[in-house]
Amino acid sequence: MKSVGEIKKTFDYIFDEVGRVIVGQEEMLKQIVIAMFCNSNAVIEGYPGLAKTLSVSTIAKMMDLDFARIQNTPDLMPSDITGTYILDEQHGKRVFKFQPGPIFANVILADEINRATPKTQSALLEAMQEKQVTVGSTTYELDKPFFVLATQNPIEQEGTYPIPEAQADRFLLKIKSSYPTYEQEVEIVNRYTEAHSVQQPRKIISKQALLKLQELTRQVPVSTEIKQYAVKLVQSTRAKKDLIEYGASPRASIGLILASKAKALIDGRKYVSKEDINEMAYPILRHRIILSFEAERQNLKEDDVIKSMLK
Amino acid sequence: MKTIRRALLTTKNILNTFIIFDSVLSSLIAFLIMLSIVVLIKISIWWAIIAGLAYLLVHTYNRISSFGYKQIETIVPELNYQLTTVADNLDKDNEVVNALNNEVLQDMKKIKTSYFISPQKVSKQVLSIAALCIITVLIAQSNMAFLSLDSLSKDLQRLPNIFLRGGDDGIIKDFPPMNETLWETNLSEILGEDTTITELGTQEISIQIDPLASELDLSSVREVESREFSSYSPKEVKAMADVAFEEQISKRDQEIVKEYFNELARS
Repeated sequence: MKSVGEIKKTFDYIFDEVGRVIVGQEEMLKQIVIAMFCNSNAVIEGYPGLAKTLSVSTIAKMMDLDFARIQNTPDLMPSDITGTYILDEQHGKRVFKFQPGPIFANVILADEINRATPKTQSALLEAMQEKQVTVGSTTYELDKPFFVLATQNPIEQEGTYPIPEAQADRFLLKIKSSYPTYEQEVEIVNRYTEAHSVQQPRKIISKQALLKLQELTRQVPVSTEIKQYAVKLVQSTRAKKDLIEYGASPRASIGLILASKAKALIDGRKYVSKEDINEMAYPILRHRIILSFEAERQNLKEDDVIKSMLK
Repeated sequence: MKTIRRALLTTKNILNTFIIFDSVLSSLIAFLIMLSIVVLIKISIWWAIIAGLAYLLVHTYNRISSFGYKQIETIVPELNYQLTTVADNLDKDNEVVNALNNEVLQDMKKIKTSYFISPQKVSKQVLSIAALCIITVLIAQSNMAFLSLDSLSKDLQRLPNIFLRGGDDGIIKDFPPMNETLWETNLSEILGEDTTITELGTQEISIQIDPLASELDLSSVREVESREFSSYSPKEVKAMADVAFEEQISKRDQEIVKEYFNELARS
């Protein structure tokens, strides 16, 4: 196990290695790693073609984790995710054998989760919350670590089933991916249109090392003043009735502190600062607040309202 | 006790010493200002001492209770957020906390005394104390006074007695004896506290003339004789104009003379 002092070097190495496959998207990659360190799940929102799937699969390979991708469609059934019993013939005998579904990987990428039916979504959400799957009368524990990274397309919302707010609360972060800059896009073109093959990422840390990092994340100390600031921030979402219809729950306070701890560790610090809280407030709160009509009338987005509450 | 806990305690004790030192200097300045005021209004010096002590206690208490590790972090940027985090997590014992404690112990060596004591501020305080001492001595020595609160308080105490002597309509029926009036009290400023020969108007004076020491012959002193004076009034009183009035004096000369006498009268 790496000592606390070497963690920063490890992260720098991870991001350098990811940079050999993915151009740009540093903020998205950092927040994916933060969600992993918090042993929690995240939803990534972005337009098609912004390397969402590639980012998740690359990180999974670097951390020696099993990766599975679920493309959600309206006809996807829960058993397609969890697995089902199939009739298998062994030694002349036919027996029912459980065929695990893609959910039994370490990193699940649920593409376009809002296109799956609520029944299918609930199967996934149960696995996210309980870290186990029930098929028939048998409960199967999922392997550790376990993450679900769901994606959502902000356009083409017709015929979709948006995740209910109560379920969206179970995702620690809502990560936004953005278009690359001009220079980055030129680099993407250079890398992916040339004859030579794109470099594959190397394994940087093991599964056990990741579990240890998750433990270290929880050990990062936080001062009382910072904790109070985080709680006040979440509570202010419930008090700001003019712009916010429904505020964030105490789960947001827990998530905010946890995510800030992970961010501090990734930055090479062993303490949480107010800047960490302010930076993590956006991915923590943007999917947990419902804006009022007044905010929509003023053409305000969730990030604008969150920005107005930060000190 | 953990090393970090001891280090934090030592740091706090040293800082409290600086705070007390600064408070003592500030209280001294406050005391000297109050002393100048009590000298000017002529009241007891104990008021200045009480005010100075009260200022010292309140100032010290407020500074000590409000000064925390946050202030140290503001002054020493290398310890930003770290000192308060360590202080709030002294009871925790894990890999990350221990690593942070070691880092903070190393960084605490960068805390210098000069961060908390400003030589310029101390110099200004000492100069202020010296200036106030000189001013106070000068005021006391010149016996300057804007208002005598002692006298005023005595006067105010007498006021109810004066008005109570009035009748039903509130008008004073009889004047108080002279030795109890306000004017006599004010006269003490001029005549002094020790009233002896200066109170001739209010006391009976018994004077005995020593005949041997006096040039006056007492034996020749007798009653005044009554005399009758005859009147010598003139039988006839006649008024005549003076010759000068018949002279032909020019009007211009007359005006000049007239103007001259007018000027004399005005001056």
